[in-house]
Amino acid sequence: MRQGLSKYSIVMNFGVTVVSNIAVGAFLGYYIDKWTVKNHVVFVIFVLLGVASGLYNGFKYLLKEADKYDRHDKKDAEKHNDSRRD
Amino acid sequence: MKLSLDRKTKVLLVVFLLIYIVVGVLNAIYLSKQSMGEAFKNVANRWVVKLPFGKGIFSRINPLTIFMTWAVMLVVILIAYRFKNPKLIPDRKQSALESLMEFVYQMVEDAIPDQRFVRPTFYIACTLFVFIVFCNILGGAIPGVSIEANAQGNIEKIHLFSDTWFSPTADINTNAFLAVFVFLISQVFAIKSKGFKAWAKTWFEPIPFMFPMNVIGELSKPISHSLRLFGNIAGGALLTYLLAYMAKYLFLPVILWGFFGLFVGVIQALVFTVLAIAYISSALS
Repeated sequence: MRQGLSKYSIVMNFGVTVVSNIAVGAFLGYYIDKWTVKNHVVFVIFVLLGVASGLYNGFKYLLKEADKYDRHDKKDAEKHNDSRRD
Repeated sequence: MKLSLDRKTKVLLVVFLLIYIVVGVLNAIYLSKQSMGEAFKNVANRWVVKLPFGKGIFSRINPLTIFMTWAVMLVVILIAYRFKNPKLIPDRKQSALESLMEFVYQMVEDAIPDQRFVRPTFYIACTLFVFIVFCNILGGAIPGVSIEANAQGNIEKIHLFSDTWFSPTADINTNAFLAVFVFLISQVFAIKSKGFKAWAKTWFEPIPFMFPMNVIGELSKPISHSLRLFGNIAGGALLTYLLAYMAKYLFLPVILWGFFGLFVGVIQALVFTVLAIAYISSALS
């Protein structure tokens, strides 16, 4: 039960990370654009930065979770071997 | 399963059930007089009061949020005061609290790499969890007083026990405050733990070119953190209201409140706490 829920939450977290990064990029870009140059170049650049940072952070998160699962599996396997030896 | 209850508990349960049924029947009679369009006309409007100072969105507050926040704080403080002197042999309530705290402490100890910050993080995480659990359960599972406002934010009607209490976490301001607080605390802990220079260097990793992406990534954490809780609780409260109207309050609500109030409320409080711990630990490592 707990394993299944946490797998689901990984997918959710990845999506939320990507979307919120893009939102923050767009927000920052809009206001920096409004206060400085007032053409929409800065806004577009920041949206693209947001997309890039969303994918970067999302995949960083996914890799971290995969690492955690690997370590968990290894620990389980060791435990299994120990019990067999006994 | 055989239940063994003493006399006092039985009387309390019977009185509670009687009040529940009487309130339910009265509400069913009252609600069936309204048409559906009238009942759902003001769904999801909030009571808004304009402050004399400030401008734009910073001059508007929802007084219900403030009342409920203070009420929940008062309840939590009273509970804390009651357990100020823990007994050596714990009774039932104390051991429930202790096991909850031990659960949170285990999570914190596993996640935080720096030993000096285990206890401060534990205090923050536990406080967040208790506060949010109280708010969510109040907003999702307990019928109480709530206020119906029109689109301009004026009071239209005061509901007595035909809707749940208004949950402070169903207001984005509370959640945004909590998330920003966790964000600031994690940065302060990181500066204290690593020193200013090493902390500043983490923004330029793995290469200096990544600085804007790191900034956007860090700033997006409080947003996703707060919106997740807000969406779940506000949506749950709305669904409970709509479905309770359709089921005329009496027949289905235990399932509804059990799911949207208790289950989702506790899960979301736990998710908020776990994410707070994860953000603090990722800032520390």
